[in-house]
Amino acid sequence: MKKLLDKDQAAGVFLIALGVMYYRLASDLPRSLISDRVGAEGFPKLLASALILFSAVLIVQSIVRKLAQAAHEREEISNRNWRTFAHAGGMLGLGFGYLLIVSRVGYLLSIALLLAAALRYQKEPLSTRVLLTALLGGVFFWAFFVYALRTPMPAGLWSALPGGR
Amino acid sequence: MEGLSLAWAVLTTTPAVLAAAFGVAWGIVGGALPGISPSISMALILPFTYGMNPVVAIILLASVYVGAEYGGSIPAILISTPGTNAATVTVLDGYQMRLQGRGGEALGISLVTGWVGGMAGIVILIFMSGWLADVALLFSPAAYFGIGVLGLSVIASLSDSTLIKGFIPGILGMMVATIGADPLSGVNRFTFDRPELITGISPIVVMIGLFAMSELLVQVGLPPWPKGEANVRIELPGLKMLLGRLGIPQLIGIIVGTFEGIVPGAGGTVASFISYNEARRWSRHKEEFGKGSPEGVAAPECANNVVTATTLIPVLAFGIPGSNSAAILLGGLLLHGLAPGPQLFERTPEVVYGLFAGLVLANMFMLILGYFTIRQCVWLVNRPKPYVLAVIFALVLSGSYTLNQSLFDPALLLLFGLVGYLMRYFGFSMLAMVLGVVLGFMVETNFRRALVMSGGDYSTFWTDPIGASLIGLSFLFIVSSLAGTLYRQLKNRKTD
Repeated sequence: MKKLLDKDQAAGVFLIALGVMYYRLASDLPRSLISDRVGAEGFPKLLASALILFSAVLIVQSIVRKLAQAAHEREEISNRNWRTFAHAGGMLGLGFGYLLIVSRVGYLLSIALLLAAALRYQKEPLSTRVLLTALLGGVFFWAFFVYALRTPMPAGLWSALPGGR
Repeated sequence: MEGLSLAWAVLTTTPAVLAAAFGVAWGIVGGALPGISPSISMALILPFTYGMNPVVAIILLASVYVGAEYGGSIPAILISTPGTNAATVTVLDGYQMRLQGRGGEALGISLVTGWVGGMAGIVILIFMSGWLADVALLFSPAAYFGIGVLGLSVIASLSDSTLIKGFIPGILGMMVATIGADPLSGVNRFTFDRPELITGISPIVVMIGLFAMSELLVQVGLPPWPKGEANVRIELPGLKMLLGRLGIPQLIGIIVGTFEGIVPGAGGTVASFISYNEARRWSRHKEEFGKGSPEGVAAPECANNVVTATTLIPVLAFGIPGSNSAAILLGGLLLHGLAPGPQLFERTPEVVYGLFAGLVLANMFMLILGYFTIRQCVWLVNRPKPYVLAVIFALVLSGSYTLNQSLFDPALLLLFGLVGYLMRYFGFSMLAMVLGVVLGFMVETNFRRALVMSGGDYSTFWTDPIGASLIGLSFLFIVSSLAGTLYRQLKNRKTD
């Protein structure tokens, strides 16, 4: 299937949209009575304009390059790329999942779960080694942060444990 | 003499020695793991420095950098996989030496010439940073605006493909820097009523997300790392070899490393490639290069270790990071409320002289730990990749929480990890974005302050001699980078 946009064009379109949104947000900033001549919105507006301009140049550069290249040389977002994105996205999902549960189930259990999930996600078969790594790793991280660094970590269900909050 | 006594006081009254030893050990391990660069090793440990004495924290970070530059040569020599970008060129001769059964000799040359380079770099750092900081005392807000612009002009040399792909992330970084209360009027900008954003986004979270988290996301999709020989033993070169055949390559490494360390945007990788090339040009044994030449290991390893010290010159004197690792070190200074520049030398000389002493210590520890812990390093490098990545993942998420004890920071870190991952995919420079985040505040504040002081007269930027010179220099830097890119493109087109 022929792709509509190549990598640089897709990035350029997204960045222009980001620049426009940022410019509008900057325009809505209130003007302070003690403000200087440039104001709180001056620099952000300049940045937004520069972003839009450079992103447009990126698109134009890409179109010019595309016209000069043969079809087989074009770098497009292939199905292989999507698979790689999905792989990275899954890992990010594990991270956000950890953040969702950590304040409820506590740091000790959630970091152990994160270790086990990250290992399983990388296709490590469920074994005693994986379970031991998660368990001992969880205890090590908890002891390291709570005792060695004296950082109160979310305790959740385990609020009776020392160092939690 | 005052500097010496301050350095001595830091070493004797703080756990600086321990920090240097631990930092080097951590750096060697991090550098030895393929994909974990010196900057990532530093970024991983950065949140843990939060509650530390500032001098100890800076020594720890600098020591990680020193250790990682040596650590990168271990897999380069043993398994033909550079642990760091700067060690890429070490593969050429180091791995050939290992195939000839001279892997221990190659590691010894890397260790000793790296130590020589590191010590030479420290001497240059001590002399140059103090002198440049004195010059910086003459700076007005217009001049500081100029120095910020000069720092941002580094972006021109950062993108491999087009200048645009350096400028765009630089702008994005400055956009991130505008989040939070406006420095002059106090108006909250882009905070979306989130109290966590009023003080702005910490550059540390951006750096760990862009460098460490995005690398983790990339590594998850890559095949396992190759394994190294477990029973390797380092053979140190003799004095005759060191001063004889390896003398010229080391001298080349020191000269190139000094220049490339000071010039923003170049760094250890460029230094190691140039010094390798120059060492081959000046060698009496040119034919051995690429086939296991000791000089081919000595020159790049010496050069990239010189850079570990000389890259700190623009950071300490002006607050301009020229490389990823220097950016993390600058992040460490900012995390502890230390503003680089002349004020750092005037108000907190113990940090500057403590850092110098810490770097000397770090180089000594590199020699000792590098020699005695090679087997342990190889054992660690041989651990299965999924386990290493899972532990790093847990470490970055937990570490970022400790910054403000808020789950907002790990969430931001994941977000910047995604941004970094996409930037790698689309070919944008991540250091350009970090430069934008770090220098954005400096550029905006001094631009507006200069205008307030001149009553809104824009001519202040070209009537202030230092400011005008720096802005002029920035334009020259951008134009020369542009000309260089065009020249390379034309040359490639002719070759095709």
